[in-house]
Amino acid sequence: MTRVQPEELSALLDGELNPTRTREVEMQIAADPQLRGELQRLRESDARWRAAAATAAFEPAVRLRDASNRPRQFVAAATLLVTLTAVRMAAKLTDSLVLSFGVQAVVLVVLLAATIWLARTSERELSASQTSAESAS
Amino acid sequence: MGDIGAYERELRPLLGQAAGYARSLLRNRQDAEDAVQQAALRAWERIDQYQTSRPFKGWWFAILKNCCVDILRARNAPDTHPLDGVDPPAAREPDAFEWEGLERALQHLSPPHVEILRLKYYGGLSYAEIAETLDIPKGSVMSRLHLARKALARQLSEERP
Repeated sequence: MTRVQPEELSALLDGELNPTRTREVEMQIAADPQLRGELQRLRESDARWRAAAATAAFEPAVRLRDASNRPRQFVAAATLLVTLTAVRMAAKLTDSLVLSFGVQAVVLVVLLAATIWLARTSERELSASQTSAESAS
Repeated sequence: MGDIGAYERELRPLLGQAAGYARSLLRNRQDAEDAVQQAALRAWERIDQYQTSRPFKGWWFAILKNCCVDILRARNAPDTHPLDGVDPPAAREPDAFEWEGLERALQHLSPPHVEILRLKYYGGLSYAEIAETLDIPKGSVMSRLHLARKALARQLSEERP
């Protein structure tokens, strides 16, 4: 059996030794008061650290959707620009005021539908990710 | 991990410890939250560079560490200091936390020892994850962490009345 290396005491504390080596190290510690004392000192320091770390941790508010929605927002902005240009061209090309208003009304309905679709898609994505995060935790 | 949903599922469980780690480095809750937010977005932008065979937490914490360093650098930039040389109010938290005593003891340790202790305790990283974050072999993590713990235990015992 290989003699316990000093760093293996830390590894034992952290559960980083394989099961075979864990048993070997524990046996040597049981038979050696000096190793037991060393492990005890490390345990005390470790407990203090863990308590401190628990005090410092908190759940931050993190948003990822801004980044993922950038391409979609770009497409929405581009669509808006193109349709507004189409409205202006339609107004110039036709002499009929009624036809011009008709085209503008159709475009506005399409824009409204697109906006609602984008909002609902974002909501679905967000709720799906929250559900999966809750089930994971 | 090509879609944001998969990335978010990996990331969410890490955020509490990530915030604690950033807070211990930056000593300010708001700055810590900003660092975690920056790291979350920066990592997503670089998700193509992540190799799934490596520990995700270790990879992500390396990015978080850099975000914290960026904030510390910005804080220490000459134009962010008031004329009287006193730290800006946001630089330190007013409350005395459990970890204030530990932080005092850490000031006597070498930077590599402090770094590995923060990752281990505040970040809750395994040896493999620390190895990934610091880009060192796992064996080096084990020996460095042990030396750091011994140095800290010695420091804490000297501070006791």
